[in-house]
Amino acid sequence: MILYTIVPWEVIFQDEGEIQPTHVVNVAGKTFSVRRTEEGDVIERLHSTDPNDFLDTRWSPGNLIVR
Amino acid sequence: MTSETKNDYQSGEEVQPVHDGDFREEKKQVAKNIRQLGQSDVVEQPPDINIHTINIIGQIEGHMVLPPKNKTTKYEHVIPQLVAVEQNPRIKGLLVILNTVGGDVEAGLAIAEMLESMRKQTVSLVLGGGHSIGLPIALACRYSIAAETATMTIHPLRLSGGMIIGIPQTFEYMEKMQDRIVRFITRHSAISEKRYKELMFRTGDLVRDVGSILMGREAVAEGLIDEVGGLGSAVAKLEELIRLSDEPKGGLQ
Repeated sequence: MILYTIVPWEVIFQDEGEIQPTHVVNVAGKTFSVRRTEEGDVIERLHSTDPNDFLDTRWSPGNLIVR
Repeated sequence: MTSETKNDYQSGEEVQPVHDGDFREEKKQVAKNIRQLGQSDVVEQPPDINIHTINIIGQIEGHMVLPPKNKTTKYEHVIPQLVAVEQNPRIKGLLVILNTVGGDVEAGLAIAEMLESMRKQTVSLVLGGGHSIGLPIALACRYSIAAETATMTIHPLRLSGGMIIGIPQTFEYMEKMQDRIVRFITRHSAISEKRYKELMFRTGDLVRDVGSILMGREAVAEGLIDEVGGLGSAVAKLEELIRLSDEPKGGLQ
C-alpha cells in the first residue's frame, strides 16, 4: 500500500493500538462488518449488491447499530 | 425494452421508501406548527432535487484501515454510491466536494476513474485542501472549481511504511506508481507533463521539502482547475451542464 498524502506517516499511525476484530452481523436483512463496542455495533462496512443501499445514510460506516 | 422498464421500476421503488416515513412525520409537524403558531417553520424539502453530493474528506482510506483518530473517506462505500448515482434516472448530476489531505494511491485513483467515466454530469468543488491524491479526484469531474483560499499540494510520491529501496526495481516501481498519477492529471487538465513535474520537484515552496502549494487562483493559472468559485458557482455550473445534456441533439429526426 502506498499513501500519497501530505500527512507524515508517523502522524497517521501515531495511536495505532491493538487491532479490533470485526464481526459480521445481519440487521434489517443486510449484512454488515461491525466493530463491537459497549454501546452497540459500529458499522465498518456494508455488504450489499444493491447500490441504492449505499445511498441510505442509515447504513453509513460509523453508524451505531444498538443491540 | 423490457430491461429498461424494469430498471426504471426497480430504482424508483428502491429509492422512495427510504424517506417516506420522514416526510410524513415532517408534514405532521408542519401542520402542528401552523395550528399552534400560525406559521410553518419547517422547510419542506422540494421534490425536484436532482443532484446528489459526495464529500471527500480527511484521508482517503484504501487497502489498510487507518487508526481511528484519522478522519477518513472509505472508498469501498463511495464506489457503490457512484454506481447508484450513475444508474438512478432521477439523479441528473453529482457535486463532489473535496477537503482532503490525500491518502491511498489506488483508492484515490479508483474514485477518480469512476467519476471520470460517469455519464451523469459531475462538478467538483475544492474547499480547504485538495492535496496529493485529492487532485486527480477533483480533475476527474467534468468541471472543477476551487475556492480562492483552497490549497492543493503537488509533491512526489514517497516511500512509506517500511519500504526500503534495496534493489533498483523498487525505485522503478515507485516511479511507475507516480507516473499513473501524473498521467491522469495531465490527461484531465490543461497542464503539461513537463510543467507538472517542475511543480512537483520545486524547492523553496515547502519547508525542508520539494513540491508546490497552489492556491485557488494559481491552480487555475496553471491550467489544473477550471474556475475559482464557491458553492453558488458550482451548483450553477452543474445545473447548466444538466440543462445542456437534456437538450435534444440537433440533426434530422
